[in-house]
Amino acid sequence: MLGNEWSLVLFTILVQTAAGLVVVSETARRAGDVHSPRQLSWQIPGACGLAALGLLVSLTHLGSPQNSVLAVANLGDSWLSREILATSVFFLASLALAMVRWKRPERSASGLGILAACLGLADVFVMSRVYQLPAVPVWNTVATTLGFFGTMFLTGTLATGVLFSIQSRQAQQGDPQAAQQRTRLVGVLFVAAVLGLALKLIGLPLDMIALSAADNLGTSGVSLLASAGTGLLVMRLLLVLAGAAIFAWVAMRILAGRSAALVQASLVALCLVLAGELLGRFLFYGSYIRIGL
Amino acid sequence: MQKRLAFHLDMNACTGCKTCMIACIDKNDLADGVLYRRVSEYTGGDWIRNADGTYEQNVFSYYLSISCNHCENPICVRSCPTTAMYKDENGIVSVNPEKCVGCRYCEWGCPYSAPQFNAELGIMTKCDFCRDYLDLGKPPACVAACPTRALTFGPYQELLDKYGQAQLVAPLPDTAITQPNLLFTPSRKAQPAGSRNGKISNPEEV
Amino acid sequence: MPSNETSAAVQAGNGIRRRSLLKWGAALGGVAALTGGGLFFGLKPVNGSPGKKEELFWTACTVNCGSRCVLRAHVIDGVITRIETDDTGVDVYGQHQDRACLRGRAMRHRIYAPDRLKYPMKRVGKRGEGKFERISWDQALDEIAARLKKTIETHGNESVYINYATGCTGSVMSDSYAPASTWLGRLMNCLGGYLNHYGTYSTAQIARALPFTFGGSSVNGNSFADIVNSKLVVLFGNNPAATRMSGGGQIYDIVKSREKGNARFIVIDPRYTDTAVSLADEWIPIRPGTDAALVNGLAYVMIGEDLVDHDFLTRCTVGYDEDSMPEGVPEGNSYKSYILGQGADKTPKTPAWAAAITGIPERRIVQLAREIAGAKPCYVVQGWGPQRQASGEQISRAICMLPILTGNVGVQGGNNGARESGVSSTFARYPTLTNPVKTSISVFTWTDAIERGPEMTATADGVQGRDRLVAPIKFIWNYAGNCLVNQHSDANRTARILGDEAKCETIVVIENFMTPSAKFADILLPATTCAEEDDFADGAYTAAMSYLIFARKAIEPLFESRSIYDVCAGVAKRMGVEQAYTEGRSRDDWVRWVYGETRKKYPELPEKVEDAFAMGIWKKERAGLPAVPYKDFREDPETNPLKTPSGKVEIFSKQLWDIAETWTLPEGDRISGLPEYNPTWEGVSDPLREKYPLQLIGHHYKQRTHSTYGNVDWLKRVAPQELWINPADAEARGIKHADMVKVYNDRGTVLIPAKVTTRIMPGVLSLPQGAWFAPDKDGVDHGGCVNVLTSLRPSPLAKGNPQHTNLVQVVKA
Ligand code: SF4
Ligand code: SF4
Repeated sequence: MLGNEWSLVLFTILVQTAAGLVVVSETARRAGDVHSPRQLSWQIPGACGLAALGLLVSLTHLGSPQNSVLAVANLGDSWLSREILATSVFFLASLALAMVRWKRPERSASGLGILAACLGLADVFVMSRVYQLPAVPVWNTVATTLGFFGTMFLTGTLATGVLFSIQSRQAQQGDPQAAQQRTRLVGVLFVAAVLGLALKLIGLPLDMIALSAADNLGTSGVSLLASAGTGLLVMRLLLVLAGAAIFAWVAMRILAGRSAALVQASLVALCLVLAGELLGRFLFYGSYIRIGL
Repeated sequence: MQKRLAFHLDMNACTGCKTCMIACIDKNDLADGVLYRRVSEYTGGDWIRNADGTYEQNVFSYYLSISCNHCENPICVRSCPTTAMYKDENGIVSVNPEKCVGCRYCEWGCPYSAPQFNAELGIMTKCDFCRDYLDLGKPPACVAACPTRALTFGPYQELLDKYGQAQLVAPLPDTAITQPNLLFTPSRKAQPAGSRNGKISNPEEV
Repeated sequence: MPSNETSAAVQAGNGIRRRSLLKWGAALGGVAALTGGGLFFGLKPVNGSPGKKEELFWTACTVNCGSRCVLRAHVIDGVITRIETDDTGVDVYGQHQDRACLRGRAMRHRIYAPDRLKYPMKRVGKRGEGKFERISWDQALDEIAARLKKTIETHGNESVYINYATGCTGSVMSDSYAPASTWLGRLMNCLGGYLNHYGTYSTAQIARALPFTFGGSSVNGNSFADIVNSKLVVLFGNNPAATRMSGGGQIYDIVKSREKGNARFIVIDPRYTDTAVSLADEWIPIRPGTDAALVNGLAYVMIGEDLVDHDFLTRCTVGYDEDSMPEGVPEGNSYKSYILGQGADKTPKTPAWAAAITGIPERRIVQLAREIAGAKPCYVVQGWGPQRQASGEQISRAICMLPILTGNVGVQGGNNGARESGVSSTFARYPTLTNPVKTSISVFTWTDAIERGPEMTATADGVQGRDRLVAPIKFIWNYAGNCLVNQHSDANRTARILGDEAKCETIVVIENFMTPSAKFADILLPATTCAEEDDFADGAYTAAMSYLIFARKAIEPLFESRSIYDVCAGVAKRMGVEQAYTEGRSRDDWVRWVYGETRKKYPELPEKVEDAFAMGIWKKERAGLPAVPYKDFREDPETNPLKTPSGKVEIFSKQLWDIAETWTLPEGDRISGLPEYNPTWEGVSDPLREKYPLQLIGHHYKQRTHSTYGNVDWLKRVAPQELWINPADAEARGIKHADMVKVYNDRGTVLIPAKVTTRIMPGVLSLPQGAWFAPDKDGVDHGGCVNVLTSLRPSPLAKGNPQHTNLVQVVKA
């Protein structure tokens, strides 16, 4: 079991949410055929902010942050080097995208958008590989990758949705074109959220299998899950499911045309999912059981 | 200096006395919470009470004195993002303190707990096979300390020729992970690798 | 030596001490800084001290561990920066390196421990409270002299006691044990003598008992080297992995002999010891205090199946059967009668009978009897744990019955059942003169002598040299020992006895650290450690090589600490016996004197002591086969009789029988002519188990030598103090590994974390002995000192310390 790894919990969730924001909003932008400079314009700067915050928080995990520039020196072998590079590059691409759109609102910069989204996806993948260590069987499964992508889609989608609903509040009601576009956007979000949830749920049994296999490895490592009980695990699931349910309800209402934006409800959904994901990530680090001595 | 040095541990001679640990602590002035060499106690077995109040048991226990095995395929070196963790031309794996960022990633991956984080310095530290002693032609501090001569060292091939390659025993990890330069003579009570009969029973000491 | 020279030397010394104090203070800062930069230390020269030369000095660890090791101090600028051990030669067995154990290797943190005593101090609070104020050496010595004078005048020399203290027992020049070989003994002998003691806390019962069986003043076994020639080795509570830890000592001997030979190893012990871990083919767990019952069961099988060695029994023993009984003992008292149930108790000692007592299955007892009897030769050896029991005298004699019955006494590869011995080289000793006082008490009864003094008699309390004591103990010297409270039994009661200043009037403690015992001092004096003075050390008993250690002064005495020789000289001067005490010699002169005398024994030693100091250790390989004690006797008992009344091995001891007839024993205590099994107070069958169901022992633990090194942080880190408890007993009480638990009985309470382990028998706990007593304001000990729970009731014959006989309860704290 690792100690308090709050900086890593925050770092991974912040960056994965940022990646999700970019991936989901850029997809929605294309699917929704959005050209208005104002629509979906907060997501990329938001992602930049979260990624920057994540990178900053990650520094607090380091014993000697002054050496952090050296941390990309081992790209050939180290997934950690690659993670740092991938996150930095993703952040820079998102920043560039945000800058371009801010300076030249009329340009959609879709090429750069696609690039940033791809880098986001790549970053989440690389991140998940960091944890696939042969000596840590609980982590060393595809469930880690699925879980990280699940987080990305869930939190990214909900964050996109919240920002979107805040922005949509200002949009004029009753514009049929806008309503149609909104429906399409929400549809994309809905699909993304379902994808995220699905990834989480697929990962879950894999997680459990790995955990039970790692249990009683003859190591002294105590599983957090064993000591804190399954209560936290259940709570974490309930939080995510509740958030997803509220989000689905909001999406349905919008899709049914019954309302244009439900800011508060979306915010609640996001908070619930984030809380569930934070707890889940905390449990993830807590489940660190290493074989050997 | 010899290349590819290895340790050999005779579990039938190791009494778990921990002299190797203290010699190491003294030599390296190890800070609290840092142990370059650790002696784990692997213990298990059951007790059965007979109807007449007597007992049957199949208790076993043995000690494993483990430091860094200066592995052929060191996962710590592969993991290290800064290349602070490196394997030198003689095969010794150690940390360059000037480069270490203190991310502890090497520690996560090493199945022998060799990389040890020095919280005060904010960097990873570890056994360097007493490189300075080797330079002087002296054995590493732990080997020179071992009262029962359970712990020895030498060129890998020499040790292999002398002791042979023993079947892996619990709780040692699969050698495929890092290809450790560690040979051992298994305890008479050794449990097969992957066995669930015992556990490391002195977590507070290692 | 003229007195003005002494004081000149002391003054000069003071000057040096002050300087060294300053330096050391600076070094402390340096050490603190190093913990931060420790990583780089040793790899590169220390920053800011370019060109500081490192010097190497051979020194030693002189504690009472049963081994003896040479250490090598690395010294930079007057500060020890590293400790190494013997690295000389090629390390071939027989001329192997005398490698120190973990404790010796931690010497640096012992010497520089934060609780090191700095100056002479005088008690200001209540006795035992630990409140002191600093005084000068002159003041301290004046006061000691005045008090000693008054005590001798008022109560006589027999009220002055030199307490058992073995912290420096391995030292020659600053030896702390036995009193008769110490400077304190010499000082007191110059002043009319002191009350003696006999026996040791290590061996009280066995040392008293075995001579009744084998004669002589001490009984030694074959050395571990002889295991090479054995078929089967049976260790009763013998754990060299914890009690003989040196790489130049017996743990290495036994590992080596096991490797070279072909013997099967069986360990009989309530715990799966570290010796069992590394050496045993089989562990037979046994309830504490029941070894004699096991032996009885084994004997029953051996007799019943006629596996005994009739030839040996007939030629060499008395008391086996009714035909070989001494005069004046009624029928039915032979060993065979006792075992077969034809004696007074009418109880056949069947394996089933033994099983119920020992916890060892009947079937296993039967097999074991056949194995022991069938293995020729068989090496049965006991440690000193089994005898540290309420009926330990009988237990130690009983274990010897196995080799006696099977004829393994006096044969190569066999053993008589006593503890292993070996070869050793020893330094000459300075003369300590003669103690005019012949009165002696058992080592364990000094608290009784404080309380009851003249009430103590020869036949009720084991007083020797007089029928009864003439005075209670009024003045205690305690140099390099922790038996004042920590290592004596019933710490709480002992503390109460010592706390009464009307009883024992003066306690002088000379120590390195603020130990639990030091807290009871009236005058507390800081002593040098071995590294701070020139010294010698005898090699320990070992199997293949004897050796001598020359320990050179490596650093200046820390703070104001002084050597015991100089302390005693200071008192002698004030008592007007300086010339008699010093014979005009300084400590350094005595060092040379001892070396000169030693060279007469070993002319091959270098001529100059300086060269010996440079050499550090001198070794001599044992030649030929290991010696076999009692070989001559066995071969021809008529020509080479034993020093027993019958000249033979006395299975039945008429002497003991007579003692039993004449002594007054408390209810439940027994002395018998035969090595019988005695159920005892707080033993397996004591009804007290309803209240306190668990047996508690206190094993020797690598973290400490008894209590020495008990304050060293490194050792506590690698080997913390824990209570051993079987999972069955732990689960029944909701105790998990590392939980804090409360162990208690009517005598006290200890709070300590639990080590839940299958390595101890159900129903038995073990709290490693020697941890430092640390009572809180309610008297609950937080240090894990087992003697909070042990009893002051002595054993019947030796009046020794039965510190493994305890009943307790444990709960989650
Ligand atoms: S010093 Fe030797 S015997 Fe002692 S624990 Fe280390 S390896 Fe084992
Ligand atoms: S405690 Fe004994 S074995 Fe250990 S170093 Fe000291 S003398 Fe040697």
